[in-house]
Amino acid sequence: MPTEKESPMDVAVASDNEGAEEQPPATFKELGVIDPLVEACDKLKFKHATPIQRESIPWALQGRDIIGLAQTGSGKTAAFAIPVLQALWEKPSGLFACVMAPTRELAFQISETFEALGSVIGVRCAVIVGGMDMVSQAIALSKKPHVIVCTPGRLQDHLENTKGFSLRTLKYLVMDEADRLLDMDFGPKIDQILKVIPRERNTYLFSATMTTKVAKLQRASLRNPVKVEVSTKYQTVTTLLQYYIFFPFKHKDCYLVYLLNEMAGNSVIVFVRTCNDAQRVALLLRSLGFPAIPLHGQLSMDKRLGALNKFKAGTRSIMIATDVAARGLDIPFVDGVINYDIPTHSKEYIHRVGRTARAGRSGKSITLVTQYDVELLQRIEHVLGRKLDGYAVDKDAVLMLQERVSEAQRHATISSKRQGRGGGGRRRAGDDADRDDDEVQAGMPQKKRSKRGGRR
Amino acid sequence: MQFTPLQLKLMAAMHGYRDLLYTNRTQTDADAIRNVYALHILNHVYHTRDRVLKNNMKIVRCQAEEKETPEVRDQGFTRPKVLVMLPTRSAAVRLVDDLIKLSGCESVDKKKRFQKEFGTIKELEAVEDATDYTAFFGGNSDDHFRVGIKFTRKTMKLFSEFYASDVIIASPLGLRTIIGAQGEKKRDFDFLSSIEMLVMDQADAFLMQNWDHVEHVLDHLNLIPTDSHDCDFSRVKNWYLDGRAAYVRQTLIFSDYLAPELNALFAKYCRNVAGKIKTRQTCGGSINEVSLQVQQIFSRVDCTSLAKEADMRFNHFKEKVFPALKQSALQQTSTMIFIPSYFDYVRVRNYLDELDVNFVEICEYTDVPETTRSRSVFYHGKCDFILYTERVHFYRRYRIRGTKHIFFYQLPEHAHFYPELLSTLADADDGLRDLTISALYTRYDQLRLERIVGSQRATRMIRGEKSAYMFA
Repeated sequence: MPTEKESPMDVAVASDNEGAEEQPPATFKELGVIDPLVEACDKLKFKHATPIQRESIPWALQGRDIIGLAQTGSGKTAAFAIPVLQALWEKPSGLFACVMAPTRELAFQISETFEALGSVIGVRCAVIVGGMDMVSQAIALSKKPHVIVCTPGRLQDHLENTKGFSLRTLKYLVMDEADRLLDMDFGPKIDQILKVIPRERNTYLFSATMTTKVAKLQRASLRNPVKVEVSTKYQTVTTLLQYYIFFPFKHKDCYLVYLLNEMAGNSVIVFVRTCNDAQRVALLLRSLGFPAIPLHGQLSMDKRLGALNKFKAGTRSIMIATDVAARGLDIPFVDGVINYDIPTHSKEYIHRVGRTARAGRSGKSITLVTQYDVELLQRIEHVLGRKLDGYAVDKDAVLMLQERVSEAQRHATISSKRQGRGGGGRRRAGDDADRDDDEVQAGMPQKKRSKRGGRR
Repeated sequence: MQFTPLQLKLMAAMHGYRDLLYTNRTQTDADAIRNVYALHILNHVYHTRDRVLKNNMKIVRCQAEEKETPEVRDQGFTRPKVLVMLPTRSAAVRLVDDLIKLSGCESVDKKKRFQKEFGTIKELEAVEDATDYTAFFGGNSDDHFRVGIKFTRKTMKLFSEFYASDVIIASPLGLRTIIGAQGEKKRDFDFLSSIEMLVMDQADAFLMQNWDHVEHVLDHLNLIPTDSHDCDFSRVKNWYLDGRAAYVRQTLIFSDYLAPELNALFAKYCRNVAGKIKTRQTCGGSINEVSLQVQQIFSRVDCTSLAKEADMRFNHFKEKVFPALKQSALQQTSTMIFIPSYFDYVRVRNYLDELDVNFVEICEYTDVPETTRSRSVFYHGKCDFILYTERVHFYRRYRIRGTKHIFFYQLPEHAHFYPELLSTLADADDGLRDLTISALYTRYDQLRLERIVGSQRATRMIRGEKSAYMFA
């Protein structure tokens, strides 16, 4: 992340870190990482440590607790995975480390990183998240994996209900995206978990922002931590082109379709506010022949992972997502982000647009602004410290789409109602809509047109 | 108590935790065999229990001394570790009686209820003429039952809840009704997840009951449970966690005879890493017990594959045998067509229906009044043929009077049915000259054939040049 400004500061030992800004990029070897892990990093093409890694790894290797303030995409996962794996290498034992993440997708991603980095030393990882079978997780846990990556809710469930499972031997606790963990009301669960794990441990706390809640959590769980901070201000990278479009609310779908048409062939994430919206927009786009796939919290775990994999693999190039996908997910090659609904928090805006233009690549973000969203846009601009550019569109061309879009809207409403009526309520609707065989995708517009002719 | 030589041999085979398929069980050995596997079951249950208790103590001691607790893996997912499948309630009574005697338990919980529901051992011992029929059907011959047994230090608890039981004694049907089929709402087979020893006694009887149920139960054995059932996962043995439990289960099968189904089951479901032992018997042949001086013709149907066997046999019947029966001066009346398998039976019946042949039928699904009527019609010569299945003979042992000719569509599994059926011919009043016996066999019938004609002759008859063999 070449553009991120480094301003490291060490709360505990402030003097050690002066002049860090001028440091050349360090190799992992120079940071004190052992050979097997350096080898693994080479295999993964991690050549130089990112700022957060450079700042945190040496402290972590000294056995200190760490608070890391860094944005997603800055190499955070490796920043805590490497020290944990190195400690594991020196003193291997089962149930060695536990990583807590706010979303299931993130948990899987973290575990992939651990497995990739730890493959050389034979690390065993278990992912313990909601929505999966309890018994098979209990079996996985009883085999004493080295690293558990979990969401707090399900871990707490196992601590309470799975006989013979305890974290008494835990040496490392990592809380990733701590602000988000607390935002999602995992606070009480985390407190309960903290009660049953040993005090003699290392704790790493990573967060994008330092809220009061996070500070409280820090006091409760860390001992004499080193604070490592990269890029204090909300920032977006310069390779990201940020635009907004202003138009009346009633043309929202129309503009979205126009933009996606413009960006056809690119992979795009469209962020919406609610699960229902995600579902509706996905249906709408699909009926217009776009390869869209929804991702939101009301889908079953399998569907969520499936959607993500399809998007990653490129079989579906448009993902309609709620904020579950806003953070932490590392999907390379996202060419654009469209904010269909403007995010209510400016923080969230930065996370969302951070899905594109990752790792030095370029990207484009477009925020749809209607008459109701002006104030929110201004707030975001204020936080960013700059004005967004207007995105030039040919209004007539947009409005020419109106007829087909409203037809698709009607179709989407009907089919989402039909799915709703089909019993099973919302979950069912989500699962059905996710069944995206190509037949539906390709054949729909024609079918619809003929139907319409009949009605006239 | 002294072991008999047979018991010593069985004990040696079982003690190494190898799979065993013992097919030489006889009426006289039955008690000795049951006795020795009951002992083996108790030995296994008590050994396991001792180890678990010892480890419990060790853990408690370590916790008291605040030392790190050692990792002990000495359990399965669920408690039941021995499953005994028996065909009838009376067989269960005999086994439970043995277990009580051998276990040395001071008291037995719910014994009264057991006696009420299953009958008592005294009733069974009171039966005097011990034919195979009375041995099997004496007492309570119900085939739908299951009972869990839990062993504690001093008591043996009958009818304990499955998940708290050490031993489960059940009939295949009794288990089948709990296991249920896919898609059913209420089904449970988690209690079968940690079976370490499976015993099937009188396995031949399952063939007469419903073999499907046996396979269904075995399909659900040693699976990873769907619910944790309060299991302490930190003490579950690793091979259970890895889903390899089936490879360390011991399976003991005792049967009066060997059947292809048993062979298949032994090959498919018994995958014990400790190995397996299969006994083999050479038979003198039950044909020697036939007291009638009558010609018996065995003809071979040559067939190329097992899959085609049924068709080829039927075609042979349709094209060669039946027209001959119809035309023969003797055999066109008072002829019994004996068909072991129900499927073949249905096929032949439909064929005869089509031809408008004058015949009656008795199979396992025929009700009693209908059977009586059929037998009387046949006896009085008002019809020419009677169709009769092996299963109905197994359950009812009718003497079909008025029979002068028997045609075996396939030979019976039970070798002693052959002389038994032939003996009904002695009732015929017009002398012995006009009686005929004929049978069809294929090379896939070797096991049945050798039990009837004897092992040596069977090999010759299967491999020989000639396709028809005559005994007199």
